[in-house]
Amino acid sequence: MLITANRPGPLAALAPWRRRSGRVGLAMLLCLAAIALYATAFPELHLGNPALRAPSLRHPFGTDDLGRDMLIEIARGVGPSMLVGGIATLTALAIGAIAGLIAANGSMLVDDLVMRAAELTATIPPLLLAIVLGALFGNGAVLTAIILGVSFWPMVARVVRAAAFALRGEAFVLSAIALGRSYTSIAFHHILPGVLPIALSMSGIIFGGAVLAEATLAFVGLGDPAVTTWGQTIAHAGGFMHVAWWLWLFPGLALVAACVGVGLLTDTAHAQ
Amino acid sequence: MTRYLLRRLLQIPIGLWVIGTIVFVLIHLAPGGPVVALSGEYATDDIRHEIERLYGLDRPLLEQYVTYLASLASGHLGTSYLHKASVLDLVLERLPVTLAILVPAAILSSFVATLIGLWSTPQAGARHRHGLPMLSLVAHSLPSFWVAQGLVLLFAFSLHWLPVQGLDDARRAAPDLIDRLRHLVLPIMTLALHQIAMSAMTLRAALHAEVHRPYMTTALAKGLTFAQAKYRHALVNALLPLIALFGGRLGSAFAGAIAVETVFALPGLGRLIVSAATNRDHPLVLGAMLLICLGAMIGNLIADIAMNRLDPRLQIEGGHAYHR
Repeated sequence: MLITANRPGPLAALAPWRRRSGRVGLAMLLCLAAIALYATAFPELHLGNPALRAPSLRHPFGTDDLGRDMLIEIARGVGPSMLVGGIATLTALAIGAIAGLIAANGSMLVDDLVMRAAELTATIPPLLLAIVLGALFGNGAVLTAIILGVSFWPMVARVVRAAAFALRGEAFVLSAIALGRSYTSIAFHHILPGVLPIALSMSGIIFGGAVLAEATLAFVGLGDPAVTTWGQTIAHAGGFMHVAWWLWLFPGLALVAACVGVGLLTDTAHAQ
Repeated sequence: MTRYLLRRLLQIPIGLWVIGTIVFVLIHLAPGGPVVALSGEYATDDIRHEIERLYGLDRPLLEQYVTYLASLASGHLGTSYLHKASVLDLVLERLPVTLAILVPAAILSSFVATLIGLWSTPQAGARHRHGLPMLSLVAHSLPSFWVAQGLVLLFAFSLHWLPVQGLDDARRAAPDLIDRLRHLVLPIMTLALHQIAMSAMTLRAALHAEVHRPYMTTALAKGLTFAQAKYRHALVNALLPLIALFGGRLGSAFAGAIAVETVFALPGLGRLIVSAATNRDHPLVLGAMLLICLGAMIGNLIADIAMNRLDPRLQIEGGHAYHR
């Protein structure tokens, strides 16, 4: 991951409304939130409609083969997707930040061990890990989210470690050492705030990766059967695609909007 | 170089040992432990005892662990419950189909990504093309199964150019090469589209750094045009991160094939894993994961060796320049 020179400052991830791209991302997420609110406001529109109707004023995203309104069907997927993405991102950030700080402040041996562990974790694709652990421990959405988060920690740890190394020689860190502060205290009070914005700009990549991985799981039939997710909706659309393109198009657009929205919000494009 | 190579080679068995140990622990941590995992929740006591005896689960845990590691070391990944066959054989049997879409997709995507990377790198001081990072973010957010269905909708259902799914046309008596290739076009396109964004962005970032180097000034002073200098001098140097990306993404490529194989109903490794997970065929799921991890580690190793050969500067720090 290279940090390119045209990054609009270290706080870009923290103040998205100051960037145009951040405002676009915010708008996309607000659209999704509006759809979700619409679904909770008019639940009676969901079922019992004529089957396989093309998009119209009454059903903006059409209806599926069971007469379900697609707009509301998609709206019901907003919550679970955001939940999975959010939990995975927080898990990855927490583990990655702590591991990165330990690696940067520990001895050579500790650093080596943490980074080897990171390399090893990075060899296991997140989707595969989620499939394997899902088969053993069940397909619950929250568990899947945590598993996905765990598999993304090396990405955060590498960035945090590199940023922490760069901060180690700064005057404020040296003066903290001179004042006799403990390593743990310096790591959490002086280095962590400095590396946090960079770690946060990774969150868009992790959020997108986790949401897409969960959608893929649901698509192949290994998702949480208790919740409606976009992956499931798209898998269901597969059987009717040749007669009802809207069943395919809209849930996918929602998925892309969620990933791109969070990506823009956290300035992922410039962190890549 | 030899010392470095030996150290890296040693890391593979150590890595597999760690993953194998974690797998062993996880199986014993799973709800009900391995017996329920093997026999299902509703098995009778007789069946449970039978399974305990058959798989040595009545032995002490340490002995089970040593036996498990010994069988891993000798290449026995276990027997699939569903297929009643060796896990290794099953994986090797399905591997060619997956490779038949992964390899062409990798070649196609690196070719296109190189073109995009070269095109999007302006001369030092010229206006940057800002659209690409945005485009790459969108491309990266496209779910591959959704793209696959879109391609089917366009090229199979609307235009009738290509078949919808499968590996062969079921109406034909014997498999036919041209027909099989026609079936593979859309899966390869889907996978390639997914990889292009990441490769192009990596190459672009590397090229952006290279075009500011003094040797580019020399090349321009020599009379080369910027495009010529970029192609002949900067590209070679910018390829290293791309090779690292390739090695590092081998495991993810197999995972990416899972969704694509499902859409196109291809009998590859990805669908084998999904059906194993659906049927709680634990030895198969875990064995396939171990093999894919082994593949990913070998991919990383090959990429590291290739980078070492291509760039002698990396050897100074024992090949660690890229990790540090």
